[in-house]
Amino acid sequence: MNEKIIEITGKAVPLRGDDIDTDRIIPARFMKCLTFDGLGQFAFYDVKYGEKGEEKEHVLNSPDFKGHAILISGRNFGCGSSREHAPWALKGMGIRCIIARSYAEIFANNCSSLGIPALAVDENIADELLKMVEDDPAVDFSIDLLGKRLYSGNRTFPFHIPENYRLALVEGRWDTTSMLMESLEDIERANKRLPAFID
Amino acid sequence: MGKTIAQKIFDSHRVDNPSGDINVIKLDAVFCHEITTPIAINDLKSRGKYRVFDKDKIKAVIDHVTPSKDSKTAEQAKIMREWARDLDIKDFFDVGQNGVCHALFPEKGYVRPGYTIIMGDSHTCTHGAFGAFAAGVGTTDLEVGILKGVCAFKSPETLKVELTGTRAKGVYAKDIILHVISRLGVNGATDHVIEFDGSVISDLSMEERMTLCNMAIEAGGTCGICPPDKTTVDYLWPFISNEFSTKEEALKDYVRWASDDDAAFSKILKIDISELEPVSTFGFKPDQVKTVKEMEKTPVDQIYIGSCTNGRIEDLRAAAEVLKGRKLNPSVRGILAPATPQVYRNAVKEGLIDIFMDAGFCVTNPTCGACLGMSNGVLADGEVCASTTNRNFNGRMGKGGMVHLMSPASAAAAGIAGYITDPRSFLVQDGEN
Repeated sequence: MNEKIIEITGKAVPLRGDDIDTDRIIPARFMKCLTFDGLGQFAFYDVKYGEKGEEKEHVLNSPDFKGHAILISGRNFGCGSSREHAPWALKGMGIRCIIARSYAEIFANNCSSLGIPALAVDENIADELLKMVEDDPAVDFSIDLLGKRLYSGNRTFPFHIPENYRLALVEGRWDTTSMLMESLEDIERANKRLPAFID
Repeated sequence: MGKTIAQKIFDSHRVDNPSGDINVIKLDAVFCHEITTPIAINDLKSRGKYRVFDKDKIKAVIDHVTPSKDSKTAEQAKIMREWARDLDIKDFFDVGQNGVCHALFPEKGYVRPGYTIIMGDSHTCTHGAFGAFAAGVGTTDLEVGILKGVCAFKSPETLKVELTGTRAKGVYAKDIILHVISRLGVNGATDHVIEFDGSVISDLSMEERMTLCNMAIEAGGTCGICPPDKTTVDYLWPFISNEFSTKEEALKDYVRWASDDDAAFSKILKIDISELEPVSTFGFKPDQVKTVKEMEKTPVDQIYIGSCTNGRIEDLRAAAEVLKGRKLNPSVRGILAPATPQVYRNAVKEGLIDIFMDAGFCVTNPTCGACLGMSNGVLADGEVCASTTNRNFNGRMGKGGMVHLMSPASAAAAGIAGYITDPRSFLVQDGEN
């Protein structure tokens, strides 16, 4: 059993834009690693750094948002390559929860296996949250995965998350590798019962 | 209510149904490459589970950066090599035998109608061209697949793309899929299988179907899928002739992996391709598509022909038809990466390599390399590439580089002109010879 992820509190980083792909989140040239450790330093590398490695003017470099744990973005976040390096890089840079209008399927699944809630919100809510954070980087958020509500000050916002992901998080079953390795004996038995398929 | 292909495959492979919408399915094959697999291998080792569910169902290749370009990529290759040796994985393709996974594995006959396949690679959707369910997954799911031979997916919903009409000369599968993506949008098929059907699909070769299915992910699709037919059987015949006494018998068996007439599709997109022209992407998203005429005169620095989308023999033939007797514009460098050793060998035999080299192309070994900006043709800041690959994301082929996706013929035409231009002006028109 893993840590139960029920409530997340923290400040946010506003990352505007739709279709932010996993090549943006971590370019392929940083995928020569043999474990997922230490990828945080490469998160959004080409977004944050220029040709000579100098820091660009960007919200991800701004001291106002340094160390914030909630990433807010637009539609179809994490599209493209299936690289699990992407959510690992986000986790490495301290992101513990993502709020966006929608997600690419493989990315959402990868986030779930890492225990990162990827919450979907309606367009008007995404816009409002981005604006709130841009206006006041110190604004606090609280995510309640049991009540399926996002709180900030006296405001409450609804979000969507596939029920199987939500249950895995709140019940501490999100690390599917560990879970399946321990519990798959049932499936192995079922496997043996099935007739051999095709060949 | 009838079933879609994907539903039929799930029904025949489901081993568990832990919650209403989630299915644990049995896998017929787990494909592995050296970028995403070594992390899984290392993790399995550290858990004391250095083994595989079925060594004959694991197919592995070193393809993304090969031959290794530095110590780190050499280490990734070494882990794959040792793993294949230690666990007796016979279908492992190393330097000399290796090629781009999604071109190599179909060529080896590893994909069959009705199969379930995963790989730590988003373009795994390619293999749906055979009427299989094939999906890209992260390393965690890959690891579970390697060890246990299962993977969890939500119940598949299918979006059908019905293609009718007559394809004009100079219009290829790449033009069709780019047009489809522009109609769907980059998230138009998210959480959906895209089933390609209609008279156009029946007329496509297996290689062309692979080009279509390969880019299903660029519209967010879980998998692209084509109903198996006679073309599928003809392609697979060298691998299945010991299983079936005749092709007709094979076809009879395979057509069960077709959607029922009354199957429920969540959406149907009908497109008549008769008016379709050669197209190219123009921005950093694969759904940003214009005709090459609209892109005319856009200067390019590099031409790249290769990848799991368009590195097969028919792609090389199409490009060579444009290049024959012509030279690359001096302002352009051309790179050809045949997708597999067999493609390379056939291209030599057919005289295609001579045509490319006479035109001034550099011919590299089969590898994914430049497509994802890792090796063999990475772009510099501000450079533009006319490319037959699948992703034009910002920086994909190199930081600050711009990628315009197009067919091999259009890329070849851009190479000759030095800018994007209509390939049809370089093609022998019907009736000319």
